[in-house]
Amino acid sequence: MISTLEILILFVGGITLISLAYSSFWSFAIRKALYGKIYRKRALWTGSFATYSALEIALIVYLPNVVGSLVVDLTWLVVGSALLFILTAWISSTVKVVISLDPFHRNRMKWSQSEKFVWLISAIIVAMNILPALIMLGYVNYVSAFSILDYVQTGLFIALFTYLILVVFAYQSVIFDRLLKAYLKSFFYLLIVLMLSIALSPVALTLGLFIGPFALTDSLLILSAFFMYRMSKSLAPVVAKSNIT
Amino acid sequence: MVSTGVEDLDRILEGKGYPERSAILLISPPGAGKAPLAYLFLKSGFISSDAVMCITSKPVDDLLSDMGVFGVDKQSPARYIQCFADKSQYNMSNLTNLFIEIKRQVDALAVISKRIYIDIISPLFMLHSPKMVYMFMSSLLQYFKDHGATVVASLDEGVVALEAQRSMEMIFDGTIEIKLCEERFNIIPLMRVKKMLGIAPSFSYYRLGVSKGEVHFYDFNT
Repeated sequence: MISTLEILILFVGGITLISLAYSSFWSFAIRKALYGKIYRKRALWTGSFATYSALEIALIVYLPNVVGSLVVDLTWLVVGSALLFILTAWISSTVKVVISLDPFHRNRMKWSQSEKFVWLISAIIVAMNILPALIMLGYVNYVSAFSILDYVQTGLFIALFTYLILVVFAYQSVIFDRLLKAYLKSFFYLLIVLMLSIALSPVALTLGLFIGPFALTDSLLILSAFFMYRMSKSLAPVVAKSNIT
Repeated sequence: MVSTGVEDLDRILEGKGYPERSAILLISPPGAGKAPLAYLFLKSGFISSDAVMCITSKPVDDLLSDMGVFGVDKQSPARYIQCFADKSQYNMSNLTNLFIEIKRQVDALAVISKRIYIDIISPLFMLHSPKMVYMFMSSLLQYFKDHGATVVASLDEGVVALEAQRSMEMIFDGTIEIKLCEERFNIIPLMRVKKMLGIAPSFSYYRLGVSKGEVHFYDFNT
């Protein structure tokens, strides 16, 4: 017997999934139509992130029973680690578009230099994420500092996200292009939502705020789906065929 | 007539290409295909030994690298004017000075037949009022045409206000428009010659294809 709450979760999850899938399709379709390398890259990473989020939602909401087996959990850990790489590549491609369209060619927050540092931090976090998987497999001995490691990882996550938010905000505040401005605005909000979901994760666990398989933090993904949709629509102006005839 | 550098586009323009001493505006969303048309126009200029000039806000190295994809040799004898918004002699913030400096460069070109590519209209709109840009561009284009130049300029759709875009279209002799069109589950780039001096207006759209350093246009039935 399915409870009302479960129906609600499936319904909201469905809307989120459809929205993300559409954002993904739209971004990849625009990528195919564009010629400019930097614009294609931005569309590619926008689409990749939407695809990633859609897969995550599908796994959490529709395939919760799959999660639990060791192999799936480990795969999920590795795939989950890809989030930071996708995000960094996405921000990097977006910043390149912004610099290209900026008549001053400003290098806000010294992104060309700090990009390498951001990649390094991402790699450290990913390594820390994979470590528990190795522990479970028995390749690495259990360390008592495991929980400390978790805190350090969360701290690094928050520091990295804060910096990325600042980068996007710095560019968003100076850009003139209204389409790009709309894109960056949604990107800015999306990053805040993602950071909130990461920052709230330990709090939600402590307070026991989990509601079935749909955690408080995961519900923030619904909001991110909306921002993803707006971003994919801001990649380039597209007209309907009926409007050009 | 001046070849566009794209065989299909020459054919669309009744086998003639762009009118001599004219100014053509290419409009499209950023990254949708204006640049290849401009690069091939310049490449055609190198082949016919015309004097070639680029006025851009892009770093020249990046421009040369992009043009290389379309078979333009980095050593080709072109004059590159990289405009900045806040420094150098080609300062986009000071339009009077910029006009004088560009004029000086045009005067230095010995060859009578000239091809000029302008890629600074969108940044100009970000720095100045539409009225100022209109006056600057009108004077510049007139000067270029008086000195035997055929000009191709690009403008990003969606970056500037529609009124500003329309004001630019008015001062150019021809407008080529590229749009991204949603058709079923695809987004396709379409091109149409919105207006062209000496050619009857057409409402036909062509599908744009860019690959291996070449640009092709295919018939598209709306």
